[in-house]
Amino acid sequence: MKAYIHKCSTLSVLDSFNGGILSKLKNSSSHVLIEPAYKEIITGSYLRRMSKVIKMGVAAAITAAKDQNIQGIVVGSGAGCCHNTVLFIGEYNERQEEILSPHSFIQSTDNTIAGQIALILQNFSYNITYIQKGLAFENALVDAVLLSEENNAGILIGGVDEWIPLFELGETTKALHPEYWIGEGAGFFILSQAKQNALALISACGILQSKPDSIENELHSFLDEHQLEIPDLILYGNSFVNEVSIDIDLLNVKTVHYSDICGIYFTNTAFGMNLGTEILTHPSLAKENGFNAKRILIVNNFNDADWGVIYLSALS
Amino acid sequence: MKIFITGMGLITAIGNNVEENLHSLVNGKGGISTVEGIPEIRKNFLGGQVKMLNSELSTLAGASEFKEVHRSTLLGLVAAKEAWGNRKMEKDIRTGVIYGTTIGGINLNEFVLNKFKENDPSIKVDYKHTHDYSFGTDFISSQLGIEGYKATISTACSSAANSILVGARLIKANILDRVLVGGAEAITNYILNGFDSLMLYDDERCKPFDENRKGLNLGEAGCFLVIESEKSLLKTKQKKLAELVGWGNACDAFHQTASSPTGHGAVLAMEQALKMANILPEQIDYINTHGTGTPNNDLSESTAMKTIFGNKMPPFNSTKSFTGHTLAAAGGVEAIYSILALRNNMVFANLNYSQPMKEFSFRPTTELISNISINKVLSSSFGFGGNCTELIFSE
Repeated sequence: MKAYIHKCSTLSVLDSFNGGILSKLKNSSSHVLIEPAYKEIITGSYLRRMSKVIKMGVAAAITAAKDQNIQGIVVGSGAGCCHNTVLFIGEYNERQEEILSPHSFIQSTDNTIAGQIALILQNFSYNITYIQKGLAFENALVDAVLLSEENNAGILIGGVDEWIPLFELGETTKALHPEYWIGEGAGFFILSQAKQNALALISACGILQSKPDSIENELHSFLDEHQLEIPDLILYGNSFVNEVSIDIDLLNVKTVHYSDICGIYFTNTAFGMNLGTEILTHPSLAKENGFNAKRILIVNNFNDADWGVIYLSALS
Repeated sequence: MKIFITGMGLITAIGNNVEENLHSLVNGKGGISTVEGIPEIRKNFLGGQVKMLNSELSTLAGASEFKEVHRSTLLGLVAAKEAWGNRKMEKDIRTGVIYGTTIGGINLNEFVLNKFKENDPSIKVDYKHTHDYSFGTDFISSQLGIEGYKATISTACSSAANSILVGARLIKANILDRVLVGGAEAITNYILNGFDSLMLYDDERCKPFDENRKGLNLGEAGCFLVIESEKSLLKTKQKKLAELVGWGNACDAFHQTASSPTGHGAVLAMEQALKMANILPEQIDYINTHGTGTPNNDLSESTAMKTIFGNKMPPFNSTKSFTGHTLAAAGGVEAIYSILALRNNMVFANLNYSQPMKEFSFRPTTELISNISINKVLSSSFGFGGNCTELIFSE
């Protein structure tokens, strides 16, 4: 399973939407999402009805999709449009169940994001949404890489999650790691089978099941199975408020925690994949920021039991 | 690589297992009645409810009582256990679970949210438990002892159909050998409110493809199928129930909740599925439609069918007239009904139908047809967001 990455577009706490992640890394300390002027990206008639997570996803997606030939739209979102669900419950509780506006209900369907992207792009191709919490992006990526191979086609794939007050219910585990913070973001990519003009290669991707103390063995097996060399860099992230913190260099390879930069959210692997792609594409800028790699393994720890893995290779 | 269906499990308003469902379908016995246990204001609403309490569903699923498990997940577990049967994990058969859901776990969420708002200190819920999403997938996998690839799909009312489609693609790509695929949906106050607010709810029994159709009735269901590669079958020696020979997924890209007048997305998905199965439209012997009973869906879907089948329309029906619209589960429920039609050489009745739609000369099957040979069945599933999925099953 292989596909080339052609475009990236990410909304994060850095101003990555304008000019990428690497050039902004040195000044990163904010925990607040930097949102673009949506009205410059999304047509007003659509924008007015969109909730925040839909705006985030659509803005990143249609920016990545600009001038690309797309034959599939694949979206991963761990909490989807959950916030609209909360709003709709609030509305009908308040009105003692009287009939109300369907607005929040319509937008509470998790596939609204992928549906709106297709509507705006007038794209009639394959369209799917995954919501496997901290593995939603990996579910989507596996599908997208496969779809690109099946049809030798360009695929729009991304992950998006917004911060919602409901997450505060998780305070009990958060108390274990006061340094953790819940973030939000959106990252979309164009994948294809064409090497020309590509940024990086996804050499393999998948999902592993492992306890934290045996993850290194599982990573070795993953590399062996796909006949991949030991990477030069591991980008590690928590997509959940995990109980076990991994603070060693996995596989004795320099390990950098991207979730410290973008925050913890279900689909933050998309941020990791954009960062990895930039490190491979801009070696000198990467060196200025302490990265030197031609092969990167992205490791996402969802819940100390389920893990996402993506292997990126630089193009020679 | 060929994909075979070797296991099926089902619980709906017309039966707690596949056999009971078949019996009701053959006898034209629908399951739509007054929905119990909902707020007074909707007390006359009709739906396809499974008349069992959650505690009874737990018992049926072979556990004493799963107190914190959503009803939708319990329905899913009942069906998953029937489909999975006495299969075991074998180390050289790569097995996965793919589950389709909308927001079926919302009833628990509603409860938690209200407590949260009231600042009730007794509620200490980790945010991983606050809504359904992948909970059903994880729970069902662990209850059956399945370790392997897991995915949760949410494409509204085509979710379970897309689970089947994605499972098949993972087998075809040689990533998995065997996949448990399906979905579940419980009737919840949330969804009733939603469809009521969209004014898509019929206050009588739904009448798919009838000129006087007014809307849908909701239903609840759990459904699972086991699909396997030939390589897996060599080892498991399971009986082949049917073959999945074609599939298509396209987007209507017309409106967030309504289908286009031309049924463009449905046409594209049907064309893809037929092309992949390498057959002509006239080789389809029966269509299990999406047929929700809403004015918009049935008009758009009929237009799409006319585009593909022209004047050679095979027998078609909407089994939602038996079960109600089981949303995320619908595509899986109807895949199983399609396979039952195939295996028993019959087409079930489209209930509550009396007057043809004025736009079309064709009409659904109104009574059970049993003197028919069925080799290929097309099953349609559509959802909010323009999602259109088509599956073709063969003997």
